[in-house]
Amino acid sequence: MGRIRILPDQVANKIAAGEVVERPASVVKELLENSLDAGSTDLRIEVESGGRRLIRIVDDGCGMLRDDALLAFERHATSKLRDVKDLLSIATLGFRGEALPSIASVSRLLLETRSEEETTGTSIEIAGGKMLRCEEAALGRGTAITVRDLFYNVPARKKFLRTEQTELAHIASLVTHYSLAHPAKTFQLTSGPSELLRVTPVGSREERVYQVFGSQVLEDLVEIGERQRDLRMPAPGVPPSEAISEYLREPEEPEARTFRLNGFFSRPQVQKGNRNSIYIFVNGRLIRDRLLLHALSSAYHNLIPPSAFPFALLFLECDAEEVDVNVHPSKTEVRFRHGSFVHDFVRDTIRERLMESRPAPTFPVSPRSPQHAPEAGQAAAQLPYSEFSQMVADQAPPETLPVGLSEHGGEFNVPSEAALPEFTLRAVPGPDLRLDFSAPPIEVTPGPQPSGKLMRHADPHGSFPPDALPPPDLSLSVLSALRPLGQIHESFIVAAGRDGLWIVDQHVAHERILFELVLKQRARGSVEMQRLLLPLVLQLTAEQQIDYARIADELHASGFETEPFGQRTIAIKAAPAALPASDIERILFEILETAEGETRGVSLDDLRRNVCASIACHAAIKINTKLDPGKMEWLLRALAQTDCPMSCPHGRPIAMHYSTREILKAFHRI
Amino acid sequence: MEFTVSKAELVRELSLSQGVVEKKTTIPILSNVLMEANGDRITLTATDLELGIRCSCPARVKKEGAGTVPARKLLDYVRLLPEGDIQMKFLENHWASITSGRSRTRIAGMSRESYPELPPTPPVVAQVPVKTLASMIARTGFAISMEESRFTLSGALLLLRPEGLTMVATDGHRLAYVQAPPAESGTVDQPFRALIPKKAMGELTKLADDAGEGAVALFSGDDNHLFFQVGHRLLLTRKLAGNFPDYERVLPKDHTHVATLDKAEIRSAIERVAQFADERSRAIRVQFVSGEVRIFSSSVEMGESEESVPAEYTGPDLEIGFNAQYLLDFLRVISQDRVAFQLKDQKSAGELRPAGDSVTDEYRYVVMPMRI
Ligand SMILES: Nc1ncnc2c1ncn2[C@@H]1O[C@H](COP(=O)(O)OP(=O)(O)OP(=O)(O)O)[C@@H](O)[C@H]1O
Ligand SMILES: [Mg+2]
Repeated sequence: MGRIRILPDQVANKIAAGEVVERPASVVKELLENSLDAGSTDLRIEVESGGRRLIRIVDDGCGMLRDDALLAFERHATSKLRDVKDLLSIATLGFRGEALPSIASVSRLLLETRSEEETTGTSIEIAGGKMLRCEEAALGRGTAITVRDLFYNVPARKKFLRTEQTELAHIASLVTHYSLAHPAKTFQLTSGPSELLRVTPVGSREERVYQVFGSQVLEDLVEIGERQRDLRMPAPGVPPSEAISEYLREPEEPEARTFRLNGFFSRPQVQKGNRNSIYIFVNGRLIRDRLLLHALSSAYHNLIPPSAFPFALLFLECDAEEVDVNVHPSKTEVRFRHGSFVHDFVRDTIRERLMESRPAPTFPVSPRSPQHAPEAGQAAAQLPYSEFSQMVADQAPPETLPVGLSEHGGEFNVPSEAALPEFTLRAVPGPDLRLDFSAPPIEVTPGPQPSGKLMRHADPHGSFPPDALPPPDLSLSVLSALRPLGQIHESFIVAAGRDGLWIVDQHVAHERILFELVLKQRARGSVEMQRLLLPLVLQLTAEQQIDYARIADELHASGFETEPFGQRTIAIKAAPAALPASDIERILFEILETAEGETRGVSLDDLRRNVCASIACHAAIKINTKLDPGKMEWLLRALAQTDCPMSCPHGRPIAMHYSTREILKAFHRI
Repeated sequence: MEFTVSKAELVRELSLSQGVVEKKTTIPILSNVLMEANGDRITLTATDLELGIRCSCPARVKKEGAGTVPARKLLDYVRLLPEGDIQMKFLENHWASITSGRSRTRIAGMSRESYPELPPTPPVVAQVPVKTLASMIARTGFAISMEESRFTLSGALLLLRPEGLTMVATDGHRLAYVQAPPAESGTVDQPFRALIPKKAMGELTKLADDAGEGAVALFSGDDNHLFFQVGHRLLLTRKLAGNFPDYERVLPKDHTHVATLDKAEIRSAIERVAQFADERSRAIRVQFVSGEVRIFSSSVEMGESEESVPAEYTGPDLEIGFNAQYLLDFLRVISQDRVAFQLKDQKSAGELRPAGDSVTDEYRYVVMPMRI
C-alpha cells in the first residue's frame, strides 16, 4: 500500500499556496528537504551553470514505491500529511505535496528511486509536466532526481534569473546551511568540475562549523551548548493561523512545552553590516523570522553598535505544535504560538551566554568576516550570499534600535583628526611562518658556530621556549589580575597580564561599570538622586514634548525629577547622583533624541537601557584624564566584575588583548 | 639682549610662569617665556591666551632687547645650576646662550615678533589684600563645577563692594559663599562684579603664597580681562562669560533647625562612614535626633557603616541624604572648631557654617540633599 495520498481539497485549501519554484536555489531547497524528510544520511548535489542547466541530487533515503513515484507528481500528493489536524504539528520539512509537480512542470525531470520494500526501482521521465516514460529499473536504494533545463518552457521566468554566479551562490549558501543543521550527515556540492562543499559525518555541530568555515571563524564564535526553557501550559498564545484555529486542541495540552536552543554566535568584536550572516533554523528548517532576528539584536543591544549585526547560527527546537510553518508558500516563514516567550528565551539565552563567556577581543579588531576563512573554510562557505538572510535584509523593518549616542566622553584633545594616532596594534606582516608539511624543506643556514666553546649562551634571537608560552586565556576574567603599566594619551590604560598585553579604553570601561551599576540600582528601585540648587529649565520642541510625556515615568524612575513648567518647558529638580550638573541638560536631550528615534516598537527594557547608558556615559571618567595607578587598578578590577566587560553600552570594544603568542609571532620568535 | 641675573631670582619668577605656559604644543610659541631686558630689570611673560603672567626681577642689563625661549626647559636647566649669577645672551638666530660658572649652554629660542601682546592694564579700581583673596578662593574653589554649560560656570563670582568682598562658587549641587568683613577687604574705589575662571584662581593663590605679609593686589578690569598686580608681578585673565546663577535665591532665608557639632568629630566620622558609601555617588544618610547626629552608609557590594556624633540639636527627628564628599570639602577647609548644620527638611537645601566666637566673616555653604 502506497504511502503517498492525494490530500482532500478541504486540506489542500488550508495550505498557504503560491509560487514554489522561483529560481534554481528553490529547486535545490525542495529536493534537499525531500531527501532529508526521507531520512537520508548522504546527500550529493551536483549543479551546472548555476543550476540552470542541471541540478541533480542523489540521496540514500527511504526511496519511493513504484505507485508512489507516479503519484508524487500529482498536486497535493504527499506522504507527510493526512488531515487538517496534522497541519497543527508538522514535523517534516515538506507537507504540501506541491514541490515535485511544480518542479516537473517547468523542467525536464528524471526520477530514479527504489524503496527498500521493492527489489527493483522506478525511473520516470517528465518534461514540462508531461510524463514521457515510466519504467522499472535496476537501482540502488534511495532517490536520485535530475532536473535539466529549468524554465525551458517558461521563457519569461528564465529572463529573470540572475547571473550564474549569483544563482550558484544562492545554492551554495543553502546547501552550506543545511549541512550545518545536520552534522551527522554527509553533504557534497559540486558545480561542474569544482567541489564547493564536502563534509563527512561528525559528532558535533562545532566540528561541522569547523569543517565548513575553518578554525578562524570558530575562534570568533561562542557556542551556546544546549539551553532550554519550559513554557508552562496553559500559556496565553496566538493560534498559529486563522485557517486552522478551529482545530485547536487546547484542553489536552501537556503541562509544559520545552524549547531548546543550540548553535553559535559571534563575539561582539565581529560586526557585520547586514544580516547575511545570521542563519536561524527552527526544527531543522532554515527560516527567516523577524521575531527571532529581533531577539538576537536585543541580545546584542548595548554590546555592538545598533547598525552592526552579529554572525549567528541558531537552532531552535520545539514541539511541532508550537510553531506554524504553514504561513508562506516558500515555507521560510513561521509563526510561533507563543512568540514573546520564544523571543525572550532566545534573547536571554544568547545574552547569558555572552555574559558567561566574556570573550575578549583580540587584535586586530577590524571587522573580520567569517566567510573569509583561508585556513580551512570550504569554497561554498566563502560565497558571500545568503538567499534567506538577504530576503530578510530586504524586508527588514526600519531599525528600531537607538542610534549610537554621539557624545562619548569627548573628543580627543589632538589638534587634527589626521594627526590622531592609530590605535590598532597591528603586527607588521612578516614572512608567513605557518607550518606546512607539503612545502619544500626550510633551508637552515647554520650560523658561525663557536665550536669548542665551553659556555653556551642563550641565543638572544632564538625562538621562545615553547613551555614559556602561557596558554592563551581568551576570557576577560583575567582583567582583574592585570598590572597597569600606564596610560597612552591619558585615555587608554596599558596593562600587562599573564598572557600578553592589554589596552583598555578608560572611558568605555568606566562606562560599562557604571552602566551595570545604574541598571542594577534601577532594577532594585534604589536610584540615588541629587537635588539641584536651582531647577534647570529646558525648552522643548513640540516633538520633544511628546517624547517627554511618553517617557516621563521612566525618567523619573531613573532619577530625573522633572516637572512640566508651562508651554513646552520642563524644570529638572533632581538628577541621578554622580552626574555633574553641567551635563544634565545634554543628557536629557540625548535621551529624548533616542526616545524619538524609536517611537514605535521599542520595549521598555530597551528604553531603560538607553537611559542608563546615557547616565553612565556622562558620569564616566573622560578620556584625556590622567589616572593614578590605584585608580587604574580599581578600574580594571571593577571591569572584571562586570557582567559584560567586552563592550560598552554603545557597542564599542573596551579591552583589546595582544596575546603573548601574537607578540612572539610578530617578533618572529615562534 | 644680554644680562646677568641671580639664579635664585630667575628660578623664582620662572616658576610662577609655569602654570600659565601652554602645555599642549598647539601653538609652539606659547610654550616659550618672553624675556625682556630694560633698564635694571628683566621681565618674564608667559601666556596661554586665557591667562597671562608677567614678572620681573633685578638684573644687570648689558644690552636691552627681547627674546623667547622654551619656559619648561629653561627652568629645568637653570634650577640645576649652582647658586650665583647667570649670564644670558640672545643671539642673532634667536638662540640664547646661558653661562654660569663653568657651564655653557645654548638653548633654541624663537623670535619675540610672534609672541602675543598682553593687553594694557586699565586704571585700578580696588586694592585688595592678597591673603583675603587667597582665603576666599580656598573656601569656594572646591565648589566650582568642572565643566561649563548653560547652567554652570567653571569659575567664581567676585563682587567688590565698599562694604566688603564677596566670592561665590557653585556647581549646581552646592554653593559656597564668603563675604569678607570690611576690615579685611581693602579699599574699593568702584564697585565691580567679575567672573574669574577657575584656573586664574589657582594662579592667584600661588601669587598670594609667594607675596609678603600684608601684600595688596591692585585690581582692575576691562571689557574682557581682569588684572591683578601684586608687587612687580601681574596676573591677568580673560573674564568668564556667562550668567552666574542667582545665588541670592539659593541662600536659605530661614532655617528651622540647627545642629551644632564638633568639626573634627563629624569630619572623621563622615570620612570613616563614607568608606562604605557608593564609590560614585558617595551617598550617606545623616540622621538628626535630639542630642546627636548619626551617619549611615551602605553599599550592596561592600557593606555598611554607621557612627554617631554628639550634637546640640533640639529639632524633630530628620533623615537627609548627602554626598559625603560635599560635606567633607567644607569641613576640611574651615579653621573653626565647631560647625553649625542648618536644615529644614529632606528636600530642602542644608546649610553649613563655621560656628563659635572666632567667626569673623560670613561663610555659608549650601548643599542640596540626595534621595537615597
Ligand atoms: N527524495 C525522496 N525520497 C523519498 N521520498 C520522496 C523523496 N522526494 C519526494 N518524496 C515523496 O514524494 C512526495 C511528494 O514530494 P513533494 O516534495 O512534492 O511534496 P512534500 O514533500 O510532501 O511537500 P512539499 O510540497 O511541502 O515539499 C513526498 O511526500 C514523499 O513521499
Ligand atoms: Mg517536498
